Amino acid sequence: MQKIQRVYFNMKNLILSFVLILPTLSFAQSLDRTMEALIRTDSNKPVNDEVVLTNLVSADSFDGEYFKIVRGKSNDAIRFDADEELTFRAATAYYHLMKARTYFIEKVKSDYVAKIPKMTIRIEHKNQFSELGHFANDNLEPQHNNALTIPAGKGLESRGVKPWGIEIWFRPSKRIHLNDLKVNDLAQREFQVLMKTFRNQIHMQSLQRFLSQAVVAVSKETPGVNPLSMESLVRTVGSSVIMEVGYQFIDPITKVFSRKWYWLDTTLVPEIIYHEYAHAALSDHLVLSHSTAIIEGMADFFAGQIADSPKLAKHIKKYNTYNGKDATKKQEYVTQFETSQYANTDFVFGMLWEMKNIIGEEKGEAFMFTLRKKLTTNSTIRNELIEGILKTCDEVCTVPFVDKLRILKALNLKGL
Amino acid sequence: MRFSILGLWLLALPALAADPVSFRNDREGTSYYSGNKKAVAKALREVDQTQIVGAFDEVLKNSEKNKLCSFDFNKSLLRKLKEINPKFTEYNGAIYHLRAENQIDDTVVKILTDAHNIFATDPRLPKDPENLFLPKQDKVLELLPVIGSFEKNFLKVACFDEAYRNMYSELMKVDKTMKSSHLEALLVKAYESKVINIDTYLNLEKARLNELEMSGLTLKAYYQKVANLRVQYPLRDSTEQSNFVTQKVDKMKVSRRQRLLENYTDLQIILMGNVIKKLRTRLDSQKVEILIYDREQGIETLTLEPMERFRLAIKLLRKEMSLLSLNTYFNGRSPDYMDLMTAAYEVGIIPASELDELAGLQDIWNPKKTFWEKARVWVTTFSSVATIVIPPPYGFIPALAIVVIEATAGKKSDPNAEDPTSLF
Repeated sequence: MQKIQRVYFNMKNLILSFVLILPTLSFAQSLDRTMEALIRTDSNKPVNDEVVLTNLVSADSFDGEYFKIVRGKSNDAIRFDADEELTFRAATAYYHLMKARTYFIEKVKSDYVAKIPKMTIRIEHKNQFSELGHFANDNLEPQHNNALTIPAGKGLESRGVKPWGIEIWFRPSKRIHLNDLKVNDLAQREFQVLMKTFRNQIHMQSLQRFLSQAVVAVSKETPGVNPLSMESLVRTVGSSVIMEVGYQFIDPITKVFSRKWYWLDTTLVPEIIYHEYAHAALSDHLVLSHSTAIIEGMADFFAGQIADSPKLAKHIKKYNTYNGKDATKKQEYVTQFETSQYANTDFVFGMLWEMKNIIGEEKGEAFMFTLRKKLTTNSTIRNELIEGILKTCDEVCTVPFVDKLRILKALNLKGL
Repeated sequence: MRFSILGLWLLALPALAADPVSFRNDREGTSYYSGNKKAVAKALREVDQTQIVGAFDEVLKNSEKNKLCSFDFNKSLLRKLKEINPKFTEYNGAIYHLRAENQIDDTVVKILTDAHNIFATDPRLPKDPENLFLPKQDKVLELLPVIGSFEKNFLKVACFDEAYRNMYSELMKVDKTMKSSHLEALLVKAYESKVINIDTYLNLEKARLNELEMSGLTLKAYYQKVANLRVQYPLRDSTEQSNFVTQKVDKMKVSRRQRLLENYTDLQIILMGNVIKKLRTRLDSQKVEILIYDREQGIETLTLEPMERFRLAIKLLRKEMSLLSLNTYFNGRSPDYMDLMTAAYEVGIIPASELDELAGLQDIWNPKKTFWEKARVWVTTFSSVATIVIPPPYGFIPALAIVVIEATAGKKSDPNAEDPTSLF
């Protein structure tokens, strides 16, 4: 009797399961849709072109199996019939996020990425992030010209804040005068040092000429060589005066001739989308708590891999008026790179890119993905990152000792 | 008991038995002599390759390791080859072919071809008496008997090269100021005085012309050196080959391995190899700590960062290289880094795959100068003069040149040299 009851119970469960699963299965059938988005050509030029958005689960909105694109704080996916500019942004974000996800699953074989629950992607979102409340109060300074990946949160039931998963927030673009920006421009500083050397050289040259003329005038009474004559003084001092004036006014002169406005439309720069998704993909070890040079550098590296380019956010002036990142740029290490102020410089990106070239293209990706296990959010470049690289090489490299030696030599040349 | 001792003795017999002499190449990659294709082709036109190898094997079979002599070896091999083809002339080509077949290595090639070339030298006779300068008469009287005893006292007990060096050493003991031109005249005098016969005269004159007294490595010494090294450091992989050791040494006509075997004893080679062994261990070490003690008690432990470990290893290498020259066995001689690398490979301490990378470490403390670094001195000098000579408004040009050259070439080759945040 008991056995019959059990069989009956199992049958009931099976039928119930079918009743529940069948509609879900038909509903979950993925859809494709062709839309216009911003993509890069093979020669890295940004163009608007038709792309196929795959794995959509909604026939009328940007709601997919893995990503839901919403506007601001809304939880509803942006509809395909919404404002043309908004759908263009949503399509661009969705397309490149899918590309990034496919990369991590198919090329890097990340189990973690395959298991990341559907992510909500917020575009045109101005609120600051709050670890407790998800969105910080609207009264707080609205955010523009950047993007961030936020960690999942438990929510705050007492305040009606529901739990949320990993999300990517793309801020709206806004024109900001460069004077209002605090920029750590190392190139500008180097230029200033060079200018100072040039100025000193010119002054020294004037002094030398004056002294040599004086010596000649004293030793030989040659007519016309009088260092104290007006003409000679004007000639000698003139170049120094011109140089000094130029040097003192170099900053305002540079400002007159250089770009004055800054904006960054993060939703429309493919490499920024890859970079943000890489943060999510690496978050099993590199927790999304704060920004460090290593966390940003790792995300930059994978963004570069997905984009198949060592240059990020470059040659896209319509949407980014500030310098992008360049892994091929020669840069020496300075201790300031360890501070959060310099988290977004391209030093670590360049360093990891060089490591990949040493280890070989084929193994480089697997190398960097394994490397994340050896790092934490508190890792420093000079200690844990290099230690991690060496230990990863022991695991991944074909001839570890030789590759480690190449790595150490390259790092030494970088001033590390 | 007796039987067991007899058993042990019988077991040891094969080991006691003389090993056949072998010069087989067990370390070198592409030969230093690989460019001599014409000579090889000519030799192979005169006798075929199996005949060359066969003749070599036969001569080798009849060689005794205690009596190895390059001159005798050449004589025997040349005789065999001439038996095959009486018109055979391209002896060096045959030797290069033996190297290509790995029957011998580059060092043996050098020893055999040098010996052959000595006897093939034209002594340009007759000598002009006006150009012959004898040492002082009293010295001549002492020197002539030494030359006269060459065959009896020197050649009878040693190979020609060793015998010549021994005789030369004896001559120098008699007259420290003796020069090559003096010896030239002495040999003529010895022949004219019938102290030596024409054959001995010719051989000694050829040896003098080729400065045989300067060459360091005989076939016997080479064989003993390599055999000792192989006994003390048996090779893990005798098929391993490296092109690093067959590369030419700068400003010399020898390969790195030839230079090593010519210039260093087996003990020196082992000591040099051990320096690299320690370097390798340090480079591969995952942890280096500095302990600070207050009397007996350790009070502080400093763990070095990875790059500090790397630079410490290099600094220690430099220190040990310097200390090596103070070692009794080196007599103040300072081996260079490439010698150390070659020595470490010779005894199998580091594999061929690691040689190039390890050798590249030298660039860290002794970087090659770039074009701009070389140009720096001249540009700076000329620009300094030009700043005075060139009148305004063009005076800025040399000033700009100085700034540009300082900015591009003026950076320190070691960017870590003055980093206060790094220990090493």
